[in-house]
Formats: sequence, structure tokens, C-alpha cells
Amino acid sequence: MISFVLRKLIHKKWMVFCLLLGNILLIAVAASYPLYRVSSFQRMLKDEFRAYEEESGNYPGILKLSYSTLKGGAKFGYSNMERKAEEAVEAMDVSVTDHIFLYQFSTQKSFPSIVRDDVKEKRVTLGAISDLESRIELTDGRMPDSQVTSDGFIEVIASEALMIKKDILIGDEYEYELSTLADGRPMKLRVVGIYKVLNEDDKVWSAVSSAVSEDLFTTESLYKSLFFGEDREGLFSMSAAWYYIWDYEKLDISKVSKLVYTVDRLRMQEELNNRLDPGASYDILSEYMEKAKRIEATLLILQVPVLLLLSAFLYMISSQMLSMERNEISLLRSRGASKRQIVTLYLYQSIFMGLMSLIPGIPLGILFCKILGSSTAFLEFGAKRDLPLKFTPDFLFYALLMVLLSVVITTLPVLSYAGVSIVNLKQSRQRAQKSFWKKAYLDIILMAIGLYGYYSFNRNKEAMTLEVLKGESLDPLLYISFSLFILGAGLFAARIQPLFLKAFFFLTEKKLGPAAYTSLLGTIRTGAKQEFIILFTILTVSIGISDTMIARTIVSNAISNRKHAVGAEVVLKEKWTDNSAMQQQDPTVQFAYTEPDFSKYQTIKGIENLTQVVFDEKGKVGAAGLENVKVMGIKPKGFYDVTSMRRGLLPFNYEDYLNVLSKESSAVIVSENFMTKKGYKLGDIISYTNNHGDQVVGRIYGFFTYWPGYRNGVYNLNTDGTVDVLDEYMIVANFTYLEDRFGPYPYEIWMKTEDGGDGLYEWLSEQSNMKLVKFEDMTKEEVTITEDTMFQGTNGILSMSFIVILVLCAVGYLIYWIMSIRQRELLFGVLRAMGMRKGEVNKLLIIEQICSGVYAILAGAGVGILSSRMFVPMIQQAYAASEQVLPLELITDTGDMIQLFATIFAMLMICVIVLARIVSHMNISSALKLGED
Amino acid sequence: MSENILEVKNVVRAFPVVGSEDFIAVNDVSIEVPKGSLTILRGRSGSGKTTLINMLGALDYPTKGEILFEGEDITKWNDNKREKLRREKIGFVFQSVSLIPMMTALENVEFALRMAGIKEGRRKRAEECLKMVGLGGRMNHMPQEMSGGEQQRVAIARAVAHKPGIIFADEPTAELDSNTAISVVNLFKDMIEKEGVTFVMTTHDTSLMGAGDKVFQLEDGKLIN
Repeated sequence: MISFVLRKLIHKKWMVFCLLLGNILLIAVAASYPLYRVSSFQRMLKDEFRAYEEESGNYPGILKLSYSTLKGGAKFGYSNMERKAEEAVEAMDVSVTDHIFLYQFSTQKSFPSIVRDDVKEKRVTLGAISDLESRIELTDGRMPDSQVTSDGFIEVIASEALMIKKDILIGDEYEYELSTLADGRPMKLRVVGIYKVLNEDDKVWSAVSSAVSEDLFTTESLYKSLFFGEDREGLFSMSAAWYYIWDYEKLDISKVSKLVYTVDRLRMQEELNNRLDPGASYDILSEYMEKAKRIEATLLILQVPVLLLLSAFLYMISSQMLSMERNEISLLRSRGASKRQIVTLYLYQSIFMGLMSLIPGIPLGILFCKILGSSTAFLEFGAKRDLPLKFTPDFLFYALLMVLLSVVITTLPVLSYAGVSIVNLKQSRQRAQKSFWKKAYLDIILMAIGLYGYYSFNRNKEAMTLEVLKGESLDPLLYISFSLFILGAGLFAARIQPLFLKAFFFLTEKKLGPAAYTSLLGTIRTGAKQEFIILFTILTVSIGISDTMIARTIVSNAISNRKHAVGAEVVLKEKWTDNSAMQQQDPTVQFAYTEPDFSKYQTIKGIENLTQVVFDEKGKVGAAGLENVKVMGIKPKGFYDVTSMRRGLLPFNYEDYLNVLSKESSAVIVSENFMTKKGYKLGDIISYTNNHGDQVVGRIYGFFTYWPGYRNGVYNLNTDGTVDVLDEYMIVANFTYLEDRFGPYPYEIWMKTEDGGDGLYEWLSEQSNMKLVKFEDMTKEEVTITEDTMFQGTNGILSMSFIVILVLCAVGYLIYWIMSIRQRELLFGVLRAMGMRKGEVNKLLIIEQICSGVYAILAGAGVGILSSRMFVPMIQQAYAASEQVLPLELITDTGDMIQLFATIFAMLMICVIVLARIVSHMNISSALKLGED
Repeated sequence: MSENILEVKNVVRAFPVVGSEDFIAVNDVSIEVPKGSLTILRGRSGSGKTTLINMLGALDYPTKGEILFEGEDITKWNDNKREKLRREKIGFVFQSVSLIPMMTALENVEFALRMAGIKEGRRKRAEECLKMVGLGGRMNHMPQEMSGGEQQRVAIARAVAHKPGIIFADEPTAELDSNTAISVVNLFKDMIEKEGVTFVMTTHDTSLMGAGDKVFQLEDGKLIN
């Protein structure tokens, strides 16, 4: 049996090659997804932690359990709590790198024994930390003793910071005013050493930093022996905190949800409630989980079309192969082989091929994943960061699942063939039957469902935006509607193709040459056979087009929105000094800013243009009762040089708006909502103030909906899950006019760079005494956007799909036609025998290609563009709903289209050339003999 | 019957065989086919009759020798000229189904006229030919819907439609029962009478030999008499 299968496979090596190719791609595409998901999510998780750490300066991987007791309280149990902390961190299952315990006695007034500078009392805190000795270095004095000294002192050491802050020296002694030791002796501290922390970067210090700069530390053992224990704990007011430092880089994403759940569960315990603090990690993890959920759903759905197409490809090839083997099957059947035996035979074959495909499929899947991880834009793979791959059993599971799928797909068509004996076969070679989907009007039904989805989603656009803002993933039904619409429209295009041909044939029949006549008539009469390849080509082209449109649109949209929101390529704002300190001492002094040196900005290399922009987010418009109006002051010429506005966003030319500001000094242009919501009209006088209340009066010369740096509404997600849309108001005035009224007023520098502007960072590093309060660099942000898992995954998956689709289309198309020629060798023999020239036969082939191939490509392009125009704006919502400021612009990248059509055109050409070669090498007499079966 | 439409002079057809001497399929054959005759090439399978008829029909080139069609040596002609010859002056009837499967009987016959470059009156002529072979009532049937004999008769109608000088029929009766076979041969004779064409057919069937005006016997590529 096996050898029979093998021989059969070798005999049909091209078909087998196609089946293997389909299988391999199926496995690779499917397996690359879990690999990429896990790897990129792991990276994303790490990025989120790192971003938090960078922004806040605090290490997020700290679990804290705090506990405090009051004097006279009956409860105690520090040792119990210590155990609880240990249990909690164990339950969380994180990789603990360090821990530090901090014990603090209540801060109290105390009396120094030696009075310096007339300071007669000081508030001091006695504390202790675990492993004190190994973490610090004495700069002076010695370590404290672990026992109360014979003269009744608790020895302590102070940090250098504390020494300076509270003027503490070695030899200082302090006696607590109110507390005594358990045995009634007075509580006295003596400073015996000054220390500094050994390794300042050590994560533990970020946990106990305030204690280091405030507390006098004694040894842990002395502290415990003095204050802990059942008989003592009720006597003092004190607290303790157990910190566990865990390595977030080692946190596996598969443990995230369990970790969050564990923390939730722990916090439900009465003892731990309000005491257990997972720190920033909890929020980071919850946020990650939501983000991951959304991305996962999106990426999974994006994969579906290519997987479906691959399945269709496999189905097509295996049916084609089977139809070639119909004779053999029916012969086997006639010789007494049972249906079951035949199905088993093919099952073996499919399993064999599936397993064979695993061998190249798995490494290819890994390669695909690497490609996904390096994608920066559609069909661009140049990410600077490598994606570290992380293997999980999912990877293999998906690969095997695809083998199973392939086995099912390739064995399924056998079921219908296996029952056919040679007699049935001969009988069935009649006129082509009408396909099932045509009879059932499946195309119309699918299109109707897709359209219904389109309209209902379109109607609920607002609601959908809110859903996305709440962190929900986009409704999969939207993608399903999209896919169904493409499928329905594709089927419909395949249905009407014969009608076009028939009409053309009817009109021209009399004049047609033999080649055109044969090919047209052949295409019309054997239409059903070609339906599949036509459909396949339509789907390929339309999915290819929508892939590029989705990918290009979402990224370019995200970037252009971000650019618009920032305003210019680089925006920075220096911290200005003012005279507020002086004003505090002498209220008569007028508040004033000191303008920093502006000329230094002009020395930055690689900057094409720069301009000063006042951007006060806390202005007010008194009459309208508006607070937090954005007041912008611009120098029209400079502003024009560094900003850009897409055509069509403003009712008049952008230049005209700027000209108005430069011509009339008090002119302002304001956001449109002043008109629509507050009733302002052109020519109205508007008086507004800046953050400090300085009032200015302007006359309205224009309204705008879009303006660089302005967004007309801000979504605000409330804690109860509802979303508010807050209107934003903005007034744009002339910079010089404002400066005249406000005096020197903090401005931003908006810049336009020359290719990347690397000089900027060099310059920044040289400005040692400049403090930035705002810095936005769009070139860097663009990289961040393209490397975002959501965008990268989308780009990567769509690019990968696109490439796979092209390969499939080329191979599928070629193999289909080669097979169809092989099956028609007799026909070509007859035609040639009747005297048809080779050139005529080639013409016949070309006309055939035009009837099916070119038609399918044009129809596919139509379906692709139409469906993308309909659905991409909605799909885009999943990516940047809250960032959406500008109206969405659908991007059709000419380069992609050229690539797509050039590939398809090349494929058609190759197809014709290969077919023509086959035909020209066809020996007429042997072709005729072939018919004698 | 005085003029010869076809004269074959010392034709040899050898096929190269890997690692061995060439296989001689047709060995030094000379025959003459008079215009308006039914010439039969008889021989067992493998005797070289199909090879010979393919060469006569300008489907194949001989290794040696001359084939004169209406006095011109067609073996010297290029493909284009030979294709034109096949389109206009030659008709073929093959052993197996040689009808174009996606065309009806009528369209098949009409197609031969289209191939021959005839622009006017195609339908009328096609109908006429089909009526001649007795299939006037089945003109719009697809080949698959007809019996072997009927298909062969359509093929004959197609072969004569464009009024070629000569029609080659390679084993036209091989797949037919003897009654049908005889009726096909009678149809040939009928056609010679009505249309004035010449028929060259091969057969292995001895019972049909009596119908031929001229009969050549082939054995191992050689003519025997």
C-alpha cells in the first residue's frame, strides 16, 4: 500500500510539489502566529515595565506588605505577617531576586543630650533593615552593637543624607520623650556611625529610600528583640514593611493572568487587605492583559483570510489531482476495492504528505516569525530590534493542527470520488453541472450578510469607538462581515463572468477566427471547471489589495494623527525661570519670566527650520465661561515653515489663515466649536487670558476644525467605564502680539529637521543646564509606532499573508493551467491536425487567459478596492480610535499595487510561455494517440 | 480515375532508439493514390500503417523519400505551408473520438469550415454535411451524447465539409461493431460519389478490404502484395 502511494506520488511530482508547498505554507503561517504572539507579547510586557521604570524612575517589580500597630492595640503578630509576606510572594510565583524588611518605630520628639545651634528637640525615627551590614559601607564610626549598651543606649547609625539633613553627628544621643523600653528603661539612642549605601542602583533602595534619608538604623536583631514578641507588641506604635524585589524581565507572559488573579485573591484576605501592595506592577500587568487581549484577537483575525486561502489552495490542488486519478479510482473500484479501502489509501497519502511538510514547515514558521518581528511597515522588514523567540508547546500544537486540517481538506474530495465506478464515471462525463453555490445563490446571500454587517457597524460607529476605548477588542463580526463580503462579491464576479463572455461571443461569433472561437466557446461551455481558479484569483487579488490598504492605512493614519497632535517634527519646551521666589518675599514685585537664550537653538545642526510657539493649555475665555482653553501664539511665517496641513482639512487655504494673523496683529482664529457651541461669529471680539490671568482681546478672523497641535475632542474614560467626549477649544493668535501683552512668556520650539536631524541629540547632550519640560520627536515616535506590537504584528501578518498569497496565486494559477492543458492534449492534437498553426494555438491560450485570468484580476481589484473602501475605515478603529483627530485617509500605495500587479502579470506571462512551450513540444500524432484510451 | 492525387516514392520512416539501431517503422514504401478512389492501407497493429498515413497527411515527415501531393513534394515544405495544406485540402478522421468535446455536432463541422477560412454559408454547408451522414436530426447534440458510430459520422462530415481533395482516415472503424463499420465505409463511397473526394483509410479488418478501389498490404513497414 505504502509503496503504491509512493509510486503514485513520484509519478505526479508537480502536483505533489504543489500540495507540499501548500501544506508547508499552511503549517508555517499557522505556527508562526503563536510563536510571534508569545515572543512579541513577552517583549511587549518587558517594554511596558521598562517604560514605566524609565518614566517614573521607580522599579515596578516590588511587592510590599506593610503592617503597623498602635500602642495599646491588642493585635500583634509581626512574625505572622512576615510569614504571610513570604507566602504571598511564593503564591505569586515570581522570580524574587532580593528582599528587604524595614522596621520603623514611630517618629517622636526626642531630646538631644548635646545641644547644638540651640536646637533642643528633634524628631527622630528609629528603624532597622534586614541585612544592613552587607548593604552599606561605613564612612565614619562603627556598626551598632546588637545589644542595648550597659549604659542603656540603643546604638544607631545614620546615612550621610540624614547626617546633613538633620545635623546628626557621631556621638549624638537622643532620648525619646514619650516612649520607654518594655522594661521601663528610657529609650535612648546613640549615633555610632555614618554610612552610605553600597550599591545605589540596587533595587532595594528604591523601596526604602525615604527610610534611608530619615531613619536612624539599629540592627535587625536588636530591634526585634526589643520590640517584637507577644508580650511587647502591644506596647508600642510601630510599623514594618516587607519588600520583595522580583525580576520582571523573568516574568513569563503565561503567568501574568495567574499573577494578577493571585494578587486579587490575596487582597481579599482580611489580614492582607490594604496591606498587600503589588506596586505599579499590578496596573502594568492589568493594562498589559487588556492590550494583549485586544491585539491577540486582532492578529488572529488578520490571519484568517490567508489560512482560508491556503485551505482553498489545498482543496483545489487535491481535487485537481483526484480528477486526474478518477480513472484509477474507478478502476480500483470496479476491481472490487471498497470505498473504505480507497479512502484509507488517500488518507495514508494525506498523512504522509502532511507529516513530510512538518519538516520544512517548522523552520519556515520560525523564519516567518522572525520576519514578522522585523517588520517596520508593509513589506518592509528592517526593524532595528531583534525579536527574541520564545517557544511554547502552542507552536507545535498549531503545526500539528494544520497537518490535521490539511489531511481533512485533501482527503475530503476523495469521499465523493471513491464511490464512483468506471460505469458511473463514463455516465457522468456529461455537460458541466451547475455548481452548488450558484443554485443556492450563496454569492448573493454572502454579499447581503456582508452588507448588513457593514451598515449595522457603520450606524453604530460611535458605539464601536467607545467599545474600543474601553479596551474591548473590535467585534470579530466586523472582520467576518468583511471577509464574507469579499467572498460573496468574488463569487458573484465569478457568476457573471460567463454572462460577459456569452454576450461578447454572441455579438462577435460570425467574425471570430478559429482560435478565438475555440477559446471563447470552450471557456463558456466548460465554465464550471474554471470557476474555482477564477474565484481563487479574485480572492487572491482582492485580499492582497485589502491587505495593503489595511496595513498602509492604519500605520500612516496613526503616524499622521500623532504628527498632527504634536504639531511639528520636533517640539521642545525649556523650563523657564521666573521671579516667583522674589515675589514671595516682596508681593509688590510683578511676576515675570526670564527668557532663556534663544540664539542657542539656531546652532543646532540638521534643523531646517524652527519657530517659537506659545502654547498655553490653561487659558481662559471669560465671557464663554471656558476654562483650559488652549492659547497658541505663532509667528505665521515660521509656523508655516515647520508645519503642514493636508489639503481639504480647512475650508480655505492654510496660507490664508496664516496671512490673516500676520496682517492684523489682534486677529485670532479659533476652533470651530466656538462658533457651533458658543455662538461666536466672524468679526466678534473675544477676550481671553493666559495661565497667569493676563488678559488679551482679539477679533475672530476665522474658524478651523483642524490645526497643527489641536484636536477637537478628547475622550475621557471614566472609572465606571463610561466614556466622555470633552470639547477642546483653541485660540490662535500672533506670537508678537501675545508677547507684547504677556511680556516674555514660555514658548515651545517647533522644528522641522533635515533627514532625521541627528544633530539635535548631540546638541541636547551639550546643553547641560537646560531642563526640558516637553520634548517630542516624531522621527523617534514613528519608530515606536511601527515597533508597537499591534502595528508590527498587523504589518507583519499582512505582509506575510500578501507574500504567501502571491506565491499561492502564481503556483496555483500555473499548475491549474498546466494541468488543464495536459487534460486537453487530445483537443490540441485535433486542432493541430486540422491545420491550426502554433501561433493560432498560442493565441487561443492567450485569449483563454484573458477570459479567465485577466477578468479575475480586474474583478479581484474591483472587489478589493470596493470592500476596502467600505470596511477599512471601521477596522482602523481598532488601532487608534482615541488618537483619531484627522479624517481617515485611505492609503493605496502605488508601489504595493505595482508589486501586486507586476507579480500577477509576470505570472500570467510565465503561464502563457510555459503553456506555449508545452503545446509547441506536443507531438501531434502522439497527442492524438493519447486519446485512444 | 486517371490522375493520381498522391504519389509516394520510396518513403522510409525511422525512429531513433536509445542504445540500439533505429527502428524502421516504414521501409521503402511506394504507392499511388488515384483521385476519387477509396484506398485502403491494411496491416496488423504495428505494421506501420498509422506512421505511413500520418506522413501522407502531412502530420509527420519521412526520414527518406518523397510524397507528391498533386504533383508537389510536400516533404520539402515548411510547417506553415503544410498547415495551410491540412486546413484547406486535407481532412482527417481519427480512430478515436476526435471531435472537439465542447462543441455540438453542428459546431464541430462548422469549425472545420472556419479553420479553412471559409466565411460565408458555413452553417448551411455544415447542416448539409450532417444530413449527408444521416445525422440531420442530431445536429445540436454534444459529442458525449452520441454513440461511437454517430461520433465517427460527425467526424466524417467534418472532414468533408470544407471540400478537401483528400481525406485520411486512420482506423475509422476500429471502435465500431461490424455493421456500423460497414455503414461507415459505405458512407465513404457515398461521399466519393457526391463530393468527389479521395479517401485513404487504414484498417486491420480484412472484411472491409473488398470495399477498397485499391488495397495495400503492410507488414513490418514493408509493402507486400
